[in-house]
Amino acid sequence: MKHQKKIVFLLLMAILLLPVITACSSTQKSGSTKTAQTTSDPVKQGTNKMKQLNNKLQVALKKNDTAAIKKYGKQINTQWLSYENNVRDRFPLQYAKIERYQQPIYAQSNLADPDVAQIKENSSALTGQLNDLLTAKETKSKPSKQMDQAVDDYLKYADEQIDMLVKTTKPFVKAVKDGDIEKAKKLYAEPRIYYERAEPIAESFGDLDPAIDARVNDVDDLSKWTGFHEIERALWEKNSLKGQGKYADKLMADVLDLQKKSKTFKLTPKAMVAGAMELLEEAATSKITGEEERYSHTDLVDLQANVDGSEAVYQAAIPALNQGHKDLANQIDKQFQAFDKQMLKYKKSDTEYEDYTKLSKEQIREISNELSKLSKLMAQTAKIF
Amino acid sequence: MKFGRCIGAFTLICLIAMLSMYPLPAHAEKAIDVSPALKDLNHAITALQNNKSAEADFSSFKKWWQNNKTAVSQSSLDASIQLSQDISSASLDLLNGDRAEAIKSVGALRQTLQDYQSGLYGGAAKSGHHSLSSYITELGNAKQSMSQKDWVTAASQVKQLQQDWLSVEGDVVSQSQSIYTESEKDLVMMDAYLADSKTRTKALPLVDEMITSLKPLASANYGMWDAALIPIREGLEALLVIGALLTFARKANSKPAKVWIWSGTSLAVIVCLAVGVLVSFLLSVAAFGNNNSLINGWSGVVASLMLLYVGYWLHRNADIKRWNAFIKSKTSQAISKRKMISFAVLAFIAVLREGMETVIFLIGMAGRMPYTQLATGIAVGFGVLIVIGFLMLKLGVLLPLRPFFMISSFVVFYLCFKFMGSGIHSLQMAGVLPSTVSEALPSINSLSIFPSWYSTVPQAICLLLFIFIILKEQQTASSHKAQTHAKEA
Repeated sequence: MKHQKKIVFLLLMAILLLPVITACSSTQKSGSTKTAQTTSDPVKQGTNKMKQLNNKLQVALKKNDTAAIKKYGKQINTQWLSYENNVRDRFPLQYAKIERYQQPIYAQSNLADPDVAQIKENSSALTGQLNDLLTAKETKSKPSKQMDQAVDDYLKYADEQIDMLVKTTKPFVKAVKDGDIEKAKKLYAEPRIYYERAEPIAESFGDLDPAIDARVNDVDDLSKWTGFHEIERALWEKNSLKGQGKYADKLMADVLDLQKKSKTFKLTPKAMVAGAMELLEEAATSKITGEEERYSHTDLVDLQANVDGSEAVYQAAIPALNQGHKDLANQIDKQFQAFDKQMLKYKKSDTEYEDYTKLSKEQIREISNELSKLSKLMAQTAKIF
Repeated sequence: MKFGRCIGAFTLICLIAMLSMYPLPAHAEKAIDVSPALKDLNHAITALQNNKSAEADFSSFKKWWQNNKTAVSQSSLDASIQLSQDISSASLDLLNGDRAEAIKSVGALRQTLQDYQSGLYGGAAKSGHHSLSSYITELGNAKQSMSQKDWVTAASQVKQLQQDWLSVEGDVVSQSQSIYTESEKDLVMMDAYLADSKTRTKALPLVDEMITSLKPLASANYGMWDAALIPIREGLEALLVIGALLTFARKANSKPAKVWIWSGTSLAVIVCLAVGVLVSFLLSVAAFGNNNSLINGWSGVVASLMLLYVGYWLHRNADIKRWNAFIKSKTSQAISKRKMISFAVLAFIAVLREGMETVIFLIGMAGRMPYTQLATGIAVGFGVLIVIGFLMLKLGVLLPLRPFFMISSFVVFYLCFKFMGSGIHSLQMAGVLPSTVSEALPSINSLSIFPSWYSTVPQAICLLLFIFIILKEQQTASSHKAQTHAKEA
């Protein structure tokens, strides 16, 4: 009988076990759905606690109180461990960025003699990341009406530029085919302006951008090199238009193709801002370095065109920016003005700027500083879209 | 036996059918290979640090960007925006010859690119470049630098490892919470140790520890035999339990007992398959991870307690007289119904425990090896199990009573000991029990001895009870003998 009692006891335990397990899994599930909805979001709560601890750490850092620094460094880690799984699932990017600064703080606070300067740097970076997490958007919100309007406005602008591109490429192509070097040189810069303004659109169509705009170092096989820069080399380096007819024809065909395709082109607000960022990046990587127009040295023309193109995005976005981001809009506005003012020094006419090779290092630095500020401000715009 | 074969075949068919339904993850259409870009940027940073020109490296990077930027922005606009900004800053700093700033901005660019590679920006960049096995190779590189006392390189490698950890940690955490926590701690400590010239030698054992603990989890090179070994490894213990129970039922000549045991077994198989379906279609393995530990933990502890009792009972019956008395006492129904139910429960728990792991592991493998190899692997594994089970039953029946009871009680005690250890360890992984580790304790994986008091103390109690049972039985046996001797005299 004694054994039988034991068996009954064990059986009972085994039977009890299953509901316990299922209950565990169901509470976990309902827990996670809750977090997504209620305002008392554990991620928000946990992050606020992290911020408090980080503030305490910063006070300790100011006082150079090693014991307190180590204490808060470890407490921040404990707090982070308590809710990091929630963050990792929902905000992977913010999670990674917080770990990047939090982990070194913890590592240092485990040492007998922590590196205060390093902790200071990481702690202030951590503040920024925690704020970022608090405002992070989990799901992609629907683009507002203003944003959609902004895209429409921008596409109108881009269409105009491409139409102008076609219009100005025609006489250039004709001059090349006629073998008129001087005329072709004179007509070269203008279509470049319109192309560089609307380049993000061309880049959306796979092979069109390289076919029209590839530079000599972008292509592996020179025999397949086509577009503006191939003719540019013929004009300025070889000083001969021999055999350029087929390149001119191909250029014209590609440009027309671009015009046709862009008519039905659709864009999301975010892609539009990404395009503006790309333009500024192009300006900073190939125009200001003199690589884009390495034979004609008309890089500043292209540079201004790139910035114009991104300014068009900004202008289209003004109504959307004005809703709660007026400060940013003002800053960007000022920065575009500052840039244009800088460029005015080198402007000769609407289609003509100073030869890149005539710029001094200092002048290049001045331009790039303004460009750098612009790029940073535009990146902030991207976060809104 | 027929019933047994049916179950075996049923399990096999179900498993294969289930796995064939399991959607194999489609490879990303066009994974963007970020590694050449990262290489260029690494070179650029090294060049800048050594006061050399980074122009060639950055040009090479720009060419990569030119060729890939459309694909990047198609996979993630956020990545494209961030990269555009970082590239602008880096390019302008390099152009202006501001070395310190350039190191920072190229570093930031590399960071963004790595984040993109890790899949943080979403998109299709999550390439197979950071499988756990390649991560372990990286750990090996860091270890080499440390043993060559190249601390600067080691420090940067550890930073890189911390970065890359993100792309493998999901893989690790889904397999073991404790290794995950331990590895994350190791990474942190390594970084801390390396930062200080007094402590940096302490980083070497940590990197070793990480390599050892992560190696069993690295699953990049699954082959047919890996798949075959899983059911063999996991199933053997369950087979031992069922074998002992079945042989016992056969010796007692009890058909109903056999049916009970088989019912428990088949119910467990069905539950395992149901869990398999649930995990592959509804939940992710990671989401199930903790529940798996819970099921494993509790079933291990309960099975251990039941086995302790069964072992005790089997050992008692090693005495032939007692056995004969037992058989005679209930001629029509040699084994009581309650005992039969407990057999069924024990069979159920033992199979559930091992089967669940088998299913989870096989699902984890399904995406990482060719489907045909997986299927043959499973078939081979279960084939081997069936042969072993068959031999065990035949041999068990052939064995004379006393050795059978002796052997089976020892086997059952061994399993009791092991289940207790691994069960409590699983509960620690699930966070039910604190996972404090004591370095004074040994760690023997084959006996499931873990260096934690929480698991070793109950195991020690099991061992003591076992010794107590043996001693007590010997005493009663010798007193029996003494009694019979006295009577004969």
